[in-house]
Amino acid sequence: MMNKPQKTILFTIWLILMVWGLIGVFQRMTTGELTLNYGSYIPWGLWVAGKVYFVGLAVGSSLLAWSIYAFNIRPLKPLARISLLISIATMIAGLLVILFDLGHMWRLYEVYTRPNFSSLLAIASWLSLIYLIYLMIVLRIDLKSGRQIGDVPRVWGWIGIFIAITFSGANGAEFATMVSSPYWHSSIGPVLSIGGALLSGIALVLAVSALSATDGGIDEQIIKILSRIVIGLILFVLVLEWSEYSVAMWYGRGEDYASMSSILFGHYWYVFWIVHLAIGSILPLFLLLWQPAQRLVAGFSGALVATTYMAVRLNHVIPGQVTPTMRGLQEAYTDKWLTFEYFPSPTEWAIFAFSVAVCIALFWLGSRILPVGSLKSIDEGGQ
Amino acid sequence: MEIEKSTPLSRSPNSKKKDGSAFEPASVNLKRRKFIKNSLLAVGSLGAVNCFLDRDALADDEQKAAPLQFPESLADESQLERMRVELLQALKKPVAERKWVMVIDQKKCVGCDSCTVSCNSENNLPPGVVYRPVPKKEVGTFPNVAWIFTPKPCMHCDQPPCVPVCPVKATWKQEDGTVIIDYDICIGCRNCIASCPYNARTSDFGDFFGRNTPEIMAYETRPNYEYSKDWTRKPGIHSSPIGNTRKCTFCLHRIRAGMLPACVTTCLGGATYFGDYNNNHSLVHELIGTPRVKRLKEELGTKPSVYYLV
Repeated sequence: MMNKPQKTILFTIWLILMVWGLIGVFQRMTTGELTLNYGSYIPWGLWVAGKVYFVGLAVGSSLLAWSIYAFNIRPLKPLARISLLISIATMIAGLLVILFDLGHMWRLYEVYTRPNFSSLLAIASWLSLIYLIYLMIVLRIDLKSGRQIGDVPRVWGWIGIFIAITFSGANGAEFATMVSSPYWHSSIGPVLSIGGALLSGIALVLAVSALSATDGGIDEQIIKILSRIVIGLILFVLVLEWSEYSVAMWYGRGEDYASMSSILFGHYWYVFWIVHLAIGSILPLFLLLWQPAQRLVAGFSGALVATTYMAVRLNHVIPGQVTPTMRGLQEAYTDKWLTFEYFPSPTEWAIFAFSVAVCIALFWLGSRILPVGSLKSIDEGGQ
Repeated sequence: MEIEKSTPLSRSPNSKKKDGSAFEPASVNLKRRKFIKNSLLAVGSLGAVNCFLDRDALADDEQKAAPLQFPESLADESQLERMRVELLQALKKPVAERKWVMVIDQKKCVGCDSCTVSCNSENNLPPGVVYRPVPKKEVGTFPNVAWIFTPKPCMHCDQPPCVPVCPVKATWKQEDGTVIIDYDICIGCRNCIASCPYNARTSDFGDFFGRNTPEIMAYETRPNYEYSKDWTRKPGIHSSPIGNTRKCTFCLHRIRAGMLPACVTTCLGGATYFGDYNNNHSLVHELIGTPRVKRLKEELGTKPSVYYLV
């Protein structure tokens, strides 16, 4: 339940994000790429990580809806529409943030007019568009089905599961297929991408549904089930990560050892240990085990997992590029754009903030306009 | 005699200089004369002996001199001429029958970076864009140390990882073995940069050396002629190649004009070779057939067209 001061605080935060973001958009449009900190040796930075993050949220939240439809999970049906709405909002945010990453953003249409389907980036781009359209179609079907939320033929759920897993797998494979980076070039990459998407997406659904007061559709029982799903997914992803890291680190040798070391013990060690592991995994795990049905605790835990998962995406995208392919390369030709060190510039953060603000705005508008049911709520403090 | 008069030694011992100081006594003058005479004789004898010795040496050289021995640098120039002739021969063949390759002799490379500089100049490269850096690696420990220089252009791989990842088919491998980019299609996603295991591709972020200074110098806005087209970069105008991935083209625009790549012609140590691998008698074909040859990261299966002699 949200009172007026709380709503004012939230709106102020959103407004700050939006204004900050618009400044970033202005800078990007007027100065091109000159105010950015990625370069030729680290060509992918915050925005690419942001795209992976948002797409992960979209896939994860929608997979919950697809599962509800496909397996006809009656207790969770009130979550179906809200999951799809979250998915649409985050998907658009993902497409938006990656648009700014392109050197020629106005040529984006070429991915659709002259695609190279051997490229996983092209496949992922096509799947993202198809997926966005599919999400909208199914949400419309659900909305048209009458008052009963989640009353959608199972087949839509099965197709959704297929596209979601293909899409998320392709996003993971986009990195995993690259021989240039031993850190990325891992068969566990696509699996971790799907696992991470499920965890972050469903955690976001938990956060939104638990923290927003509902009109009765989403009860404590649903929150409890969602909490347990998130607990299971946290453990699942931690096992995958243990597998990934321990294999590379155990004997302290191998080509991806340097990248893994930089994540665990490098300059940004705290991103893994503090942000991801402590705040994003262990703390919510204990909270959810302690009070799985308590709305505030569960919602807070879900929010922690969902927001800090950006750290995992950053730790996947950036360290894969920090190791020079050849000793002495960085010193061979020194230039601002030719370094193997990276921290996002203010413009990059601003554009990311813009995407977050757009995502929130889309969700808020959607929940206001569309009868997604359980969300009467976020702005009205429904009972 | 006029000369004698003018000679100080001919003056009377009692005569005085204009300033009033006395000259030395006659016995001193006699000793000096003797000394000078003897010295001249000694020097003359040595000169005569030396002259005969030189003549002997020259006679020996003349006997050995056929054919003429050029200094090393001239020998390298003849290699350049050979490569140029072979390049012209290759250009007469259909494109599909050529295969351009580069060979870099690391023992000859002195790490002078002249290839980097000439490449930058030839292609008018902006900040952040480099086609041919020369990574330098120190090996050994004092007192046994050495430098290894590895000039690193685009490898123009036969199995290029950068080509299949391009979402819009903006980069491809040509029949002559070169990997090229269509600047008018490239969307600037930098997927190819991320996929290159040699860090051979860089992005043009639209920067200028003169940015944040009162004036952008004219050289920065003059065109480059990559792919035989006129590409002009202007500050504040976001048009290709700004926003694109860029890379070494093996100087295709020069090759088409019958010239060797800029890095080959300016290599100080004559360490860079270029030519048609499909010509069995070409210099590059000969060099690739020696036991010193290797390619970078061959284990990845990329099959680079740049060979190194280690």
